[in-house]
Amino acid sequence: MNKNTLKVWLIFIGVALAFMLLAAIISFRQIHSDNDRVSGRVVSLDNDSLVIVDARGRETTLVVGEETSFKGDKNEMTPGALIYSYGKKTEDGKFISYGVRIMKKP
Amino acid sequence: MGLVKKNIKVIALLLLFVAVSITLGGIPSDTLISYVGSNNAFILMLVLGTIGGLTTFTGIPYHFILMSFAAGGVNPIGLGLATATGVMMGDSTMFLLSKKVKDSLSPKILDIVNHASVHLSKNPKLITPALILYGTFSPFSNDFIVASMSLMGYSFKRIIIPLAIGNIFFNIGLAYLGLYAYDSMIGFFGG
Repeated sequence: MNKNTLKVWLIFIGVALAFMLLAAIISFRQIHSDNDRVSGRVVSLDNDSLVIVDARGRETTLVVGEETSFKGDKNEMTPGALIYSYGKKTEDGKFISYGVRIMKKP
Repeated sequence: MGLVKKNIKVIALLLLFVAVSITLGGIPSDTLISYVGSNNAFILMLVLGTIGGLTTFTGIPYHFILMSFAAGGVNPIGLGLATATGVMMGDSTMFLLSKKVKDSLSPKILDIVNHASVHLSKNPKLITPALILYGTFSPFSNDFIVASMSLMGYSFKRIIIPLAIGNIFFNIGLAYLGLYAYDSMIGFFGG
């Protein structure tokens, strides 16, 4: 490999690595600043909580309050509906929901 | 100074992509999702994949949203196909932009591009499998590869189709990873 060829490859690899490094930094920053998220089918619901089950049968209790935003028709949130929610997981395994989106009717 | 002047259009385009990526990077994913009107998981992933493909440095971590949908019970194959189609649409924009910007490049940069093109043309049969492998295994943006190969004069079919095939495998794999190991993945990345 002559000197010129080596220079071309070094420039290409350098720029590619710079792209990847910047992408990794931005992605990691986003992952850490983002909310937790959960999705699954509604099993039961009452005024301040919602129990969902994921594809592997694991249940999660979502705590919903007045400040929780709902996207989609709230009346469609009946057992069997598929929902997506973002919020914060708590130590006791519950999920404080900031927003709920109904993805599929029952 | 002369080099900057000669490549002002290219530098402006690069700065635009970096600015868009950093701006989108600063907006929480769920704020962006809330702007997408559809409640269909496949359409949502198509849009998120397109935004991810449009932005140079993966504007939103759509990977975790994809895994979360799969864990929740949405069809992993459908999710993978929808996301990969979105990413392909985003990458196509980069392909077209790079084609347009070629005329604005300085002779020095064109020389480097042509030099690299000559080296790649020595092993033409390796290009398609290499692109499929990159699309399948790399979690990073395809933009650098798409832009440089577009500048080298490779056709849309030659670059985007193999990358799209790789991205389909990658996103279906990611969806299955979400289905079986979502919590472990979140724990691993400390999310």
